[in-house]
Amino acid sequence: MTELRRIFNYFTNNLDRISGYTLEHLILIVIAIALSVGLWVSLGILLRNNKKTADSVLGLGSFIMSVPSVAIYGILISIPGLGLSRQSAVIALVLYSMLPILRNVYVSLNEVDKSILEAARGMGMSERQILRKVQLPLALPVILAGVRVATVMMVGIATLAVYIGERNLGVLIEQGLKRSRSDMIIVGALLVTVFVLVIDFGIGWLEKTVVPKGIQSDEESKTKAKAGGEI
Amino acid sequence: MIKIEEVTKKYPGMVRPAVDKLSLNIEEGEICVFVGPSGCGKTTTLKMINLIIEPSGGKIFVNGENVLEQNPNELRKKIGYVIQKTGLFPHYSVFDNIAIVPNLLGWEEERVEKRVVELLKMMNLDPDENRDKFPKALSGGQSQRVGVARAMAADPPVMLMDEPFGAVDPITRNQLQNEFLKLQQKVKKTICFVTHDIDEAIKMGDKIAILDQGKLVQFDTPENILFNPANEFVEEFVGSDRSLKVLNLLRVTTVIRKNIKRVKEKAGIDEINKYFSHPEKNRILIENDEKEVVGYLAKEEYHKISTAKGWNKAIRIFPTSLNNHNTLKDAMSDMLQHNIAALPVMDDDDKFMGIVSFADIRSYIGEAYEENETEKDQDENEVL
Amino acid sequence: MGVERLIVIIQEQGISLLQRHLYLVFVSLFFAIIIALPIGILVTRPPFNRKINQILSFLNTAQGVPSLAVIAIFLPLMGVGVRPAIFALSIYALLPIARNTVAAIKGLDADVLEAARGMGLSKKEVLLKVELPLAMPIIVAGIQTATIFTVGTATIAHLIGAGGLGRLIFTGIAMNSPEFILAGSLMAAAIAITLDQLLGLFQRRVQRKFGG
Repeated sequence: MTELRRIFNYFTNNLDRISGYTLEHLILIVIAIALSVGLWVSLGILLRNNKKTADSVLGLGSFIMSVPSVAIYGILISIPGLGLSRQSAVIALVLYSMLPILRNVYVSLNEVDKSILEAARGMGMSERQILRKVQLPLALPVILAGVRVATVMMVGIATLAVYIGERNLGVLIEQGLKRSRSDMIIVGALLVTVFVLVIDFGIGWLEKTVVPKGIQSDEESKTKAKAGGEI
Repeated sequence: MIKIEEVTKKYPGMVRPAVDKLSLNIEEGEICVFVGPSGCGKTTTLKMINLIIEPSGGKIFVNGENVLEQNPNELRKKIGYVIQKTGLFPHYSVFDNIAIVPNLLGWEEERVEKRVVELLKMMNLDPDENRDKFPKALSGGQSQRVGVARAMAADPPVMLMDEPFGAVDPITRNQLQNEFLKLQQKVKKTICFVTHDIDEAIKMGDKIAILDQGKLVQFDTPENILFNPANEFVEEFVGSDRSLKVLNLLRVTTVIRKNIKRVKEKAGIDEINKYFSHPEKNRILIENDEKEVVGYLAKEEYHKISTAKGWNKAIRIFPTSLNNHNTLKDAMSDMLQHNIAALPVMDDDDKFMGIVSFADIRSYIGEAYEENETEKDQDENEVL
Repeated sequence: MGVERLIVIIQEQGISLLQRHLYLVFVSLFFAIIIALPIGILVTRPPFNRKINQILSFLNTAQGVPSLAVIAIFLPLMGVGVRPAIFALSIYALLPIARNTVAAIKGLDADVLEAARGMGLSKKEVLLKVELPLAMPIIVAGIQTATIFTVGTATIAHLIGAGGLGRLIFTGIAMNSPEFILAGSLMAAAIAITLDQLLGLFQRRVQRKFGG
């Protein structure tokens, strides 16, 4: 009981700090996701008809993904000019999001039914119009699934960025571990978990809102898209 | 309207061209069907007309203009295109799908709206009920209807149809074919139609182009394809059941009997007796008080049952009716289904035109073949 | 920054920390596999299989819980050292394996299973001779994912006193020494990539063998 009270007290006594950390966490994620989406979606569009290059770029992505995040941070801050800075954190997050976003963009653009593309071409739509009006809207659910996976991953990896100078919710855990303060650790762990759930839910809601009505997927294709984004 | 001159398509690494110096001419307002076994080049030829596939050689003129000299996207907006899998945009409603080309052409909103509603009605789809549906909510037949409507949206004079009814069940296909033929009588498009099904070719085509290994084997009317196959390949492709296929070709109007005597159900027996005494008069039509034809009386059955009072027990009531676009095959299958030897034919306004009978169909087919066989014999004699 | 110093660090401290790192990874994976597989299979049997979609989405969501949170939460519960680290790593590694097991079995062609039942195979035989072999490629892919996660998360295990390559990295950050950071990072990256490649090879072999 006293332990629970201690945790609760820590939370209520430090609301200001906690909301500051949450905000920092959010800012880092928003910057990273904005850059990632811009970069990897454009790259996916560029590479959509170029299987060879796409394969090697995706290979690089899965290579990066397999490197431990702490190691990526470590390598980045060893680079002169980056060091312990927000740039290092953002670059790491953007690199990590490469595989889930790029792969989903590439795969989904290429999975648009051939007959739909032929019909579009047959009606005299230009390649640009086909991309904008047909391929991208149809690929949207899978692309968003990739963005969702990437964002959730980023929230987790961002907590580790406190060791390279970020001041986000990870600070609670970091300080808690350093000072053996279980109340801080537990509050920190719970908050980042809630943060992840909120982000996950938020993008899920976004999916429902922006995905065109005619292709709002039934349960089955949704789990498929999600599984495709993670396995 | 469509003129294909020495068109060739050769793919790299292939020994034989997919299409080999093909030439043919499709007249305005005609349906020309390309038919042949798979790999014969029919679809390739079709897709070269709107440059989905680029020809390796030759010229194609649509409406007097060489398509190869035009911007492909501008060209395609002027040519309707229907494909087997419909290719409807799943994220567009029925309305938006049909409106694609008008919108690409920059039509005003009102004009698009009017046109889409008109097309939906034309395709027998209730506009209010269907315009906001998404493709996944449509049945196979409905999807194809929307596909055809979409191709006709900007009223292109020329349409290319690549196995448009290939993906639906036989009953729906038949229905779509009939509806389309009826529509074509009104709109008179110049249509290039690909199918692998010779029955469909015979039914739909004003002209049929039979292709094999990229070459044109015979380009002719369905009648001539059936009665005068150019060579063994055509004969084999058309099949041994040619006489049955004729049924699919001919409309009920070719054997319709008009001006048959009509009597009221309560008519006197003398009137009937007098009419049937004529050796060639075998049937009388029965009409109700509103002067609508409801059934017929056959001489044979009348004589079997004939008593002064009970003659109307021999009346056969028509269980269904045909329309003037139905083929003889439709007529025969309806007759068999309803176990009746004659059926009434109605025109487009649902007015009675006449009747078609089993006996008439049989004798017509018999005669057509006899004529043809003698002609052929003569040909052979001359050669010998 | 000197390459020589880097080599010295690797020789003096790196090798033993690498051994510890691998120990953490393999022991955790061992536990994860022997727990996740039965759970994954159990979940696809009645009566749990009716809730299979919910279970899958739970496993998906749980995967999103940050690794730092998972590691850290065991400090107040179990104190510091190797044991809590292995505990935390096992739980974390369990998720992708269980998820892929469930997803793989669920995704099998119902006709194949019906045919197997129709030929008189018992439920157990269907599981052992049909379901598991067919699901194997995806299960192995799950183990591959779990391995990569575990190599990465094990670097954090240093924070609860379990040692491993994380020690070099975190010490390097604290001392502002690129040599330490790089020694740890490069070794951790090397293990992850090597194991990923090896398991990828194995996965493709399984795929060829079972992936009808």
